[in-house]
Amino acid sequence: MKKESRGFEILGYLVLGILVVACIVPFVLLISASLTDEVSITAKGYSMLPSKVGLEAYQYISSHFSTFSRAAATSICVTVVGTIAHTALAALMAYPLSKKDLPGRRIFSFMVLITILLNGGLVPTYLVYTQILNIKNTFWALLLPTLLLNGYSVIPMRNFYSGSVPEGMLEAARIDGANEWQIFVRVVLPVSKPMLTTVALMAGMAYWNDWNNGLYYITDADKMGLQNVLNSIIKNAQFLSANVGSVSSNTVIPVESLRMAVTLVAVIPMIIAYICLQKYFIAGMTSGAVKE
Amino acid sequence: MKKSRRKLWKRYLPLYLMMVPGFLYFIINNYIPMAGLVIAFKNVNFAKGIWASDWVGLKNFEFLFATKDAWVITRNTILYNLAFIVIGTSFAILIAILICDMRNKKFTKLAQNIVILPSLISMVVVAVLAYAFLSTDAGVINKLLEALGMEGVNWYNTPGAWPFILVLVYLWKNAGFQCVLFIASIVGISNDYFEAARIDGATKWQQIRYITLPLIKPTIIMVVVLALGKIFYSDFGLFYQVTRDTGALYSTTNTIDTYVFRGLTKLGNVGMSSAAGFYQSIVGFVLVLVSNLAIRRSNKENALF
Repeated sequence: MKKESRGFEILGYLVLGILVVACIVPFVLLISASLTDEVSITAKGYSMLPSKVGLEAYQYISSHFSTFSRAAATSICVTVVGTIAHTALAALMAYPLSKKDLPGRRIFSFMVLITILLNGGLVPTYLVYTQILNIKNTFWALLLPTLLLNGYSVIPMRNFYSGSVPEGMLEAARIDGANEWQIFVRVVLPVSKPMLTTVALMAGMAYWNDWNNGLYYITDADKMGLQNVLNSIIKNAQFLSANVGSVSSNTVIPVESLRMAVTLVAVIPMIIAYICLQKYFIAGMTSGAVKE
Repeated sequence: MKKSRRKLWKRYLPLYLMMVPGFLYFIINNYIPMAGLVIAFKNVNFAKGIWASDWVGLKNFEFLFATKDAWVITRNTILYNLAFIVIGTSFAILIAILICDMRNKKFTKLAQNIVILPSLISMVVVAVLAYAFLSTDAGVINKLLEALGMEGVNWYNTPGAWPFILVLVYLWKNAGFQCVLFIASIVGISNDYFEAARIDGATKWQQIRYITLPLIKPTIIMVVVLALGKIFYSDFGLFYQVTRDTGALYSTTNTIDTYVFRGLTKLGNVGMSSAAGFYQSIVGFVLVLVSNLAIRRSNKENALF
């Protein structure tokens, strides 16, 4: 091996090695801290291996199971409904926009583009959802704002339909007497499965990880999803240390380890999804990066 | 003629109907709020209703720009974004080149899968992880400092440290995701170039300098210009969650987005918030148009429109 080439390899091991460690350590810390005795965390700090194993966090979760299971159920529900709705709306809009002969196509495409370019921002959006639609503290508040559809899903899908669906297939179906709706359901959707999976995956990730909608529109703790419950636990810890002074050993809530345990619950589904559907994630990230 | 028109109509009608739900949503979620930008010129009075509230001309903007906040949030938003663009993009390119060119493919495959982990999680989770490192009493960093015989630092009360912390957190969260695009672009380079260069005795560094970088230049330009177009928008989660919304840190961490949010929800100052939001939307819109124009100039295919 040449000398410079060896230098490159060494640099590679060094930089990637550090980055890999930096990416793994926080997650190990997370698992370890969730399994650590609460007093031991406050005394000895977070560590890669539990300084003293304790299951208070998980005991607390199981003794308050209804709160956490309701939050998890809310998150799962919003993610499932939102992902299906997002993908369906995107496909329904993208297919007509891909028809080069559709009258008005340019105007409709432009209307999609405008939603990407200009943004009303938080204040008007907040007022629309709270003053006009009155969705504060309802399930709709987690589902509707911002995430239900966006141009970043529609435009790549439209490009896919106009580029990758063979015109011959559509013509054949038309000759068989199928109308556009039947063609869409029987021909177009099946051939666009990879594209649909990619869009669905990105939408699912956005819904599962979303905490903004909950922060803006949910004040009732019973209506919160996992991310917002986690957010409140963070706030609650701040509240505790601000009001009780130093968190003493007889604190009822194992705040530190509990926070880690709930975080773990919020993280695991995404990691499993990534392991199972890796190539669609990569596809989504590439197209997302181009158009974002 | 009439018959064929009816036939065409029959063909197109289902297509138009398919678009109805999506556009209905865009009207509610995007178009009405866009029209709502005008509330920046109103004194919003919920008793009167939003549309019936009094017009106040530029009053909200006068208040906003009379405060020091306007300058601080603009400066923070732009400087952080510039740092993210320069450091983040360089770092992503470095990672992409290493992943593509290192010999040990098992290692690079593993590395790529691991560095992407942080982009799968939410900012709330990132904030929890950051706290495990930065907490004054139990944090990893302070424990390390103590072990080295040094004094721990109260990080959430040290505004000066946060530009560095936030850049590091940004790199950690986004490097794996950002390098995906550069990897795709490097993989697309024909192997013949490298083969020929090797035969001519080019070193690894020369290959990177004279082949890889010039050939991925269009991708780099596109990424940078698109990011410049969004320089007026900040990642709300990074500045709100990771700092734990700590008042002591506002001087170095308050951006336009966090300012608008706090004005609206904590201070109930709809006027100033909407003025800041209007300012962000309009300047942001102009910058996106300019950046798209720039991309069109360099490579028409990559332009958004």
